[in-house]
Amino acid sequence: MTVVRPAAWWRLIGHGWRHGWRDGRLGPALLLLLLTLLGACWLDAQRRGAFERDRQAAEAQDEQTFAAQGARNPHSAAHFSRFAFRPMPPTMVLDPGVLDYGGAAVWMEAHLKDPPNARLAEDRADLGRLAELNVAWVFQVLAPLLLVALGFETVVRERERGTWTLLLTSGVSKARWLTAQAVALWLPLLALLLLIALLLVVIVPTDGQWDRGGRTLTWVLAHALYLAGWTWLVLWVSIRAVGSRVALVVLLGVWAVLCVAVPRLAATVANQAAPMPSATAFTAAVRRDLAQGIDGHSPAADRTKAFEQKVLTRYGVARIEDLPVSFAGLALQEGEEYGNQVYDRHFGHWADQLATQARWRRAFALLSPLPALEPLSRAAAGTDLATQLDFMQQAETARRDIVRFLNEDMIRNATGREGGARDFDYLAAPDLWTRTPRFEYQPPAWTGPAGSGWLDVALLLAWWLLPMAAAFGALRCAEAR
Amino acid sequence: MSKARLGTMMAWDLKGLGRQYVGRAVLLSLLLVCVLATVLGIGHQRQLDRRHGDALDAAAQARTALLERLNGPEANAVLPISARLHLLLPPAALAALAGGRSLLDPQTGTGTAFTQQQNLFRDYQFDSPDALAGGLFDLSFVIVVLLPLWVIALALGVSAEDRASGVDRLLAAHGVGPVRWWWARSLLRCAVLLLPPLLATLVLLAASTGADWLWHGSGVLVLTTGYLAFWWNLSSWVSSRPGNPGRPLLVLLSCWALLVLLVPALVGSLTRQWHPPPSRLALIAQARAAEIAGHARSTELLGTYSHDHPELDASATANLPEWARTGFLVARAVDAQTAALLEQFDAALAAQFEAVSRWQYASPALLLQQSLVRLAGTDERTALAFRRQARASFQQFRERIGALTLAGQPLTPALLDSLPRFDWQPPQRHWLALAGGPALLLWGLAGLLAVTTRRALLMLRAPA
Repeated sequence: MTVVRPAAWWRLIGHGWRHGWRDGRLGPALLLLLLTLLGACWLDAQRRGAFERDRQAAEAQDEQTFAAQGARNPHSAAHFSRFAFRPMPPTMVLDPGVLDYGGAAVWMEAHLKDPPNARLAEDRADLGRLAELNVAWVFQVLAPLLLVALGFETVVRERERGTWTLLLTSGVSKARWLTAQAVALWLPLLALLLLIALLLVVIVPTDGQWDRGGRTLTWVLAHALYLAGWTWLVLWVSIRAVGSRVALVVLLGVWAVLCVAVPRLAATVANQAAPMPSATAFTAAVRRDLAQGIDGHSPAADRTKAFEQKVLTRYGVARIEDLPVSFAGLALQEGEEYGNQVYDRHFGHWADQLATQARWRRAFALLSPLPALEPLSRAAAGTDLATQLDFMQQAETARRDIVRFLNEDMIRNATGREGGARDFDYLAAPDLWTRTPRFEYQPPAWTGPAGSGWLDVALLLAWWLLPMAAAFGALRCAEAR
Repeated sequence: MSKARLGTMMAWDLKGLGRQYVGRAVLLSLLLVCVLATVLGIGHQRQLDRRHGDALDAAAQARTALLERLNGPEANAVLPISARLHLLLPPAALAALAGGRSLLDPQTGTGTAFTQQQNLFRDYQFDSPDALAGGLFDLSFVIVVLLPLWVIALALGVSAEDRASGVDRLLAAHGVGPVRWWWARSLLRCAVLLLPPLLATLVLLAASTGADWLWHGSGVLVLTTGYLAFWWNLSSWVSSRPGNPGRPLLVLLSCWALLVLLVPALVGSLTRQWHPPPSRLALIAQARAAEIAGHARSTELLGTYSHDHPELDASATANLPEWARTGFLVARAVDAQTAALLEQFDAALAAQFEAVSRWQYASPALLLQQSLVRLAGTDERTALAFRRQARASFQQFRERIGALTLAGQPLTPALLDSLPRFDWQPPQRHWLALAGGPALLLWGLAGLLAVTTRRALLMLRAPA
């Protein structure tokens, strides 16, 4: 086994760069990509800064408003409740993911679990989502196109010029030469990935809650793997193609299918294969379960009667008026507990449908690497569906805490004893609002790809290794010929 | 004589296209993609129809339930605040062809006496954010994004191949000029490329319940043929220029990436940057602050309302629960406070839309995409019109039931029938106004490129 000195490697890699530079493609292409990346990075950093300023101001104002309600019945306050506002992670500059399409605010109202509202996409002109100017899009769609444009004739050019045979007989290891060509194509893009990661640290402030380092590293690695797969695919086609034009046509066709058509097809097919219930049907089903019971045979009136009997027995009294606590408060909390079961059931079905859709999309990863890279990239950037669901779940937990806290105050104090008011006539002291639990979003800790994320990693590894193996195999065949 | 030869050559070209690997691949993939887009488009339209049907059923059931109460033993206790206003936007006629914003914007809303304008559309659909972000694989996507790639594949290098194979000399010997041959071949190949999308359009028109065959069909036809002609002529012109045979493909693909991907992405980003909407979160916070302030001064609000409505009998509200009176008055007060901010959202979206309308001329792809969503009725203008009409209708409805409630009138079936209802009026637009201008521009560009191609072909033919 011969040991190759780094200088020899760099000579081979430099040869590839020199060629690209001389034919006038490498410089302008990289410059264009760099400018596009900087522009996208700056635009999203600005957008995130403005959103976070607005969110913090809205949160502060809402806190003030809730605290300044004055004397009020706790149940009225539970209806008014609080809003949960979703923060934008600093890593959204890498991939905005579904941020604009998942709601940014949840009303944590008594009795009702709302889906998030205030979708940012509603307030912007829609251009058919043909393309989005963001860092992830540049690396996932434009960078492979650049690799095609720079690398399609790497091998086929040598053959057309008649220098391929010369190369085969020159003593340079063909595998080493090919690897150097791959590195020459891939390295500038890796440098751009690292530059953007560095830029993220410099231009986007963070509150320390998001694990920016780990997330950025995962994001860079996933994209480096994806681009390495593209590099080897380009070289494989370049080895196999009979002419440079054929290589270019094949590679561009493959790029159009893999980067443009398949991701969109995957999203549409998944949405139709596992369709979501309409909002009207969903609400009607929830109302039906609340009114008739989850089993359909325990109407709300029967449940209330049974609960009343249970409470009277527990406190050993014969009449509601003799209870040492507020029955209205107890009934409200009982209603919440039942409602929580109903919502858990229906939102559980909804989450199952989302998971089915995700599986459908992942099935398309057999046709294109993007359905595997996209979820990984979004998860690392904290802008994926799982993070959105995590926000919803945390908002729901906070909603239950807030409503329970306010109901418990009513249970304890709205008893009508010692001259106090009873049930809904009771007014809580204003200091209750400052003691009410708050919603504070805790971003999920980043421990690398979780669950099905590893399947995406495996698919990306396959995407890198298969074209590489195919390229070396094709090289051996070419040598044999 | 040459006419017959030209026909023979065209038939020969068609046969050749069927025999060539590239020709077969282009035709089969185009057919496959059009079939997929048609099936998925119809699926999308059905999804919208189902949602609309569910909302209509729910509205009818709510009305029936209310009428039962009004005809029941406790009819006198039913207050006007029990009435609901259902705001429904019917699915766009051609959402199957160009989905546009059809999944993004609220299509239904419910208004009561206590609803605030900013909460009118809070019943969101439960779509997956991933599906919304991914966009729709519909026929408009196929035509705008993918069709140019097939055009490039079929148009590229035909002149060079003719020169290399000697076909140009053969044709010249038979009196068929290069320009005439190019025209004949262009018509033939464009017809082949146009046929699958047009058949798909016809299927989608047939599957749609609200589409006007003449209106929508002719709009799609002139736009698609104009766009196809533009790309065909651009490809022919670039590939008729002498030089490295690999360069035209690179040039055309760069043009495609620039016009189909980069320019729309840039226009989208810049228009959003230039006309940013206010913050939805700020609107929520402002409305909630106004709500608490409204509750604190409910007596003052009632006094102001009574002052503005001298016909109101003050004693009529004596038996009215306080929450009913306050809820209505506070909702009005919140709307008064947030009206300016709410209007800014519509103004920002309208300004973005206007900016896109100006900048769409920078890219034929953007021009076609915008024209198709306008034709289909899934554009910003329809969304804005729905929002504005719904708000105006809701304003009238709430004022009416509020006045009835404060006047102490019970709700009766006759009164329920007399309440304002929402009647959607689609923006009046003739297809010529929507598709005429963009089609003219696309055809104009195609014409210019045809002239340039003709010149290039004649120069190639001219002796050195």
